[in-house]
Amino acid sequence: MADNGTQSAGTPTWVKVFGLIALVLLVLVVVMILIGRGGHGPGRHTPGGGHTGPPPGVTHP
Amino acid sequence: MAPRVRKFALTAHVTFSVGWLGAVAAFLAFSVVGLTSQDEQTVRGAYIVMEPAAWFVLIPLAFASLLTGLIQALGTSWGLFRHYWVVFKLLINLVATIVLLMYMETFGVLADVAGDPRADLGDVRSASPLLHAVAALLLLVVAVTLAVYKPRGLTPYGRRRAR
Repeated sequence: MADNGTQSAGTPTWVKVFGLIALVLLVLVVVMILIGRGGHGPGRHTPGGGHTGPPPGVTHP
Repeated sequence: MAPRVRKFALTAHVTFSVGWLGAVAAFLAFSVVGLTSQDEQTVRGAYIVMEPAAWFVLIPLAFASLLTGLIQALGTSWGLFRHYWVVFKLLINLVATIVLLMYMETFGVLADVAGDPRADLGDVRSASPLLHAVAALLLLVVAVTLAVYKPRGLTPYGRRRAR
């Protein structure tokens, strides 16, 4: 286990790698939201593709 | 924090965090069952159970993990913004919790469709929970790995505090 003492200055390589991965994932999510319907609600996930009402052929009273 | 309190807080944090990981693994199982089972009632049941299970298990564990993590960080010399691994863990926890809260609406819609006997099974099945469960598992495994290995690296704030 790493100690909690003094550590060398500068940003470690693993932080740069993690930061880059996080940035790529963030951009990917933003692009998916922009290409999609602009949200993370059920419309993005339901089979109707943005149709948040009842499924086809189903009517609620 | 006194050593006894610190140990208790650490135990609580590990319990809630690993419990959250296990709960997500259960959701992965629900998702696979929902997509692959040939039994209609089983498929519908898998999507119906996701919403209450998320409210009663995932969300409490997510917030408990976040809260105990904050206590653990602020109550010890690790701090919240001194070490990169702690910052990354905090970000992972926040992102996972926010996405989970946003996803609750989807769980509700999936449960409504699954509970409607007039809905076709093809409309009931959804790959979305599987996708989100896999993503959440990956994030939480990274968080656990960071917590165990504690890779070196002080933030600029941490370096200033260390002087």
